[in-house]
Amino acid sequence: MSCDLLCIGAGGAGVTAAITAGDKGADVILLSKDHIGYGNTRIIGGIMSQGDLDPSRQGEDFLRDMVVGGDYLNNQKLCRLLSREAHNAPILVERFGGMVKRDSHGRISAEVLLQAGGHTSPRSLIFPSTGPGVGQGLRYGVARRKNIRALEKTIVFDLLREGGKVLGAVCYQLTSGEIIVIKAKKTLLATGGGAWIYYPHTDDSRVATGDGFTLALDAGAELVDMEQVQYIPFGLTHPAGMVGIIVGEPMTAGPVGILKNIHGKEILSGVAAKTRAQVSNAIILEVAKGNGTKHGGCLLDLKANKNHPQGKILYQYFAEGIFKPFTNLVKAAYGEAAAVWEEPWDVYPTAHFFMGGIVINERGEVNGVENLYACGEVTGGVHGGNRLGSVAMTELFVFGKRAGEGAAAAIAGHNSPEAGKSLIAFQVERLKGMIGKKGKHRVIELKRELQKTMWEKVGPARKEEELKEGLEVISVIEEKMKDIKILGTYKYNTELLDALELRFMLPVARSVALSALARKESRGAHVRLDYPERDDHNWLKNILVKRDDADGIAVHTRPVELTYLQPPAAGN
Amino acid sequence: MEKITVKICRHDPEAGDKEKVEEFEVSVAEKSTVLEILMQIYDTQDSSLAFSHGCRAKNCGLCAVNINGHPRYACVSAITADAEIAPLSHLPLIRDLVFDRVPFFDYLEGFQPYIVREKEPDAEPETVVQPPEHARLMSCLECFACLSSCTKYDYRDKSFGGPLGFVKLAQLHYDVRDSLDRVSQAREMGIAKCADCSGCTCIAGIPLKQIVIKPFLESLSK
Repeated sequence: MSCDLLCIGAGGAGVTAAITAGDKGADVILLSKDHIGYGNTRIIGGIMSQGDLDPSRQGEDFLRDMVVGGDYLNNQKLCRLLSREAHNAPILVERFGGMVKRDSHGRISAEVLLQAGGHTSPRSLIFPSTGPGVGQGLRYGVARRKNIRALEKTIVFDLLREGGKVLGAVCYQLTSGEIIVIKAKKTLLATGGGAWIYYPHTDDSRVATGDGFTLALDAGAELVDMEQVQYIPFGLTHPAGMVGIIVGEPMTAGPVGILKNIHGKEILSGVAAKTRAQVSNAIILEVAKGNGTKHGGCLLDLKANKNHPQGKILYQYFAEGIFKPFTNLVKAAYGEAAAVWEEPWDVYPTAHFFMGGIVINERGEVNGVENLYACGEVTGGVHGGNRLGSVAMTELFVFGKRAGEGAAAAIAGHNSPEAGKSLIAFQVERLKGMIGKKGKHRVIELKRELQKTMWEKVGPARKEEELKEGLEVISVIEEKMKDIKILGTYKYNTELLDALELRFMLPVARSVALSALARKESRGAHVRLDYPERDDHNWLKNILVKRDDADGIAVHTRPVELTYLQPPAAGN
Repeated sequence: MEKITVKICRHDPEAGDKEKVEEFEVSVAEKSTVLEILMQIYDTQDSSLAFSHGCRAKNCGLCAVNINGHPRYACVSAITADAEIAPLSHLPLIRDLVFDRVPFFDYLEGFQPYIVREKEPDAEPETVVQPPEHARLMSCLECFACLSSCTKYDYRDKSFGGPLGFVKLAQLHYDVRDSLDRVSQAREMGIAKCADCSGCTCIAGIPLKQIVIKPFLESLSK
């Protein structure tokens, strides 16, 4: 097959890019590892920032909140674009088919906006039908356009690359068992994050295996600040099958919710206004001190909210509104009394979002790689060291549109060579060579070993020694990967899917571990027990990783470009 | 930890084999779920077992299966001794517990499954009041369990779209931005078959009869 633009990933970012480019005349293939409109977009909590209602501020307050919340690691140029164009996000969602909550007059007004943690004013819209509503709306948008061909249940094996240019991809379609070759003038990565490397300690969908990070690395791109993995503070700690599932975020602590250790001592005040990093880090450090519950968590006590005017409204959201799914999960895990806030919840942070990712410019072009674009969670820089609640959704639509426009403009009059026959044959043979491999190791066991190691050694609370141990285990698994066994069937080959995903997960894991080892301070979501303070003097730097000549991963740093905002001078 | 035996329907239509029920001995703890056990079997015993899942938290709808003959979300269903886990019914099977969604969406294509406007809005975001039915219907998890519970649905029968087809039409029927006659489409999709039936259920809790089937039938009889 061939096309103008190959969009890899069909959550909010990929679909927005595909539709935007398609409407500008591009012939688009939209590839989805799951189904159209799934991935993490499908399972959002249900809020999206739309910027400030007062246009005279030109997004300056929003920009400041993002940069302060992100501990000054952000790419401020991208932040400014996002803050100024955030109002486009609900418009795009609704053009495709979704809908955001309005007041009784049918308008988006102050009345319907929530204030999520780290935001200094209410600017978050609510999706009344949460993720499924957004996801189905995305499918409407794709179904309406005949110049977008969708390939579902299809995973990329590798990009077609020649002389620093990306020329398409070789893919495997799980449901048909076919190997599909796609020649494309431009290729876009919108594959989302990689928090599944922490399973079960994640609330992400199982597809979030970081595919795009590795595809970009292999194509010559840089990844920025990969140590910045957002842990959302309120994840379940038990039972085993429900570990890591999200049941709230700072805002949902309410005005008088209390976060306590096992001895009943409050560990952080004013939780609802804090960022995710601040609340998660408080729990992580308290448990590291030995003050956690027997399940390794802290206690979130929401009871006082039931007698507080604003708290009562929040309780209603949990009883009947958009947070009801959280109530159902708490009920299943901890029982009825916890579900009605009479008993505290045992909570511990769970891997939720990758702030780090592919370095892009304002048109979504991947720095240093010809013909390659990226948007959404797979990119880095917008959120710095911490993403504010409800901004991920905004990013999908704002940068999905920008990348779609960028790619469409570049396609017009583009005359790039096609991928050569020998290159295609080489890649197809490599993929075929994996099917029916008769090695020693079961892939799923390696996958689980990696996930366990990442949580224990490269998880929320980090130390040099453990990070080094984690890297050693990653090396061992990389070695074992050379000797794996895979089913010989083509159709729905589950072991092949695992193997393709693990090939993506390993470089992502190494990138996170190496970046975490390099950053000798605690900043944003990155907590080093051996370097507990933020160190602006030495570490106002972005950490970048890139493939080296030996197919390894090399780390270097670059001072953060403080384009608009500077941190206050420390100490003096 | 306790050992129990669960039964799982295995079937590979491509290999031409017959559907068979396999037994697996598994370890369960308090509150173990069906999905947890499927993953345990996959991880420790047989990684050719095909099943779908996404979020583990009843948000994505991908893990719906039949448990002892009833459609359920594997992620929030407690495992019981002698549970029999089978794929959803009436759908094209790919392998084991995985069915193909594509034929349904291909069929739906014939009904313009997207918003068709009379004219573009003057200003965006629009001023628009969302009917509560629309919000409720857009929270459909597209898990296909309703089609499994419907006694009249068969994916090969193009004269009948089944409850999920009607839900997709109802979403647009209640969408104030859409201009097509979705009631006539419901007739084309065969809703008359639902007149004397209350067989289908939504395991995500959408009242199908009340906000989908009945309003369409009533509009048609007017």
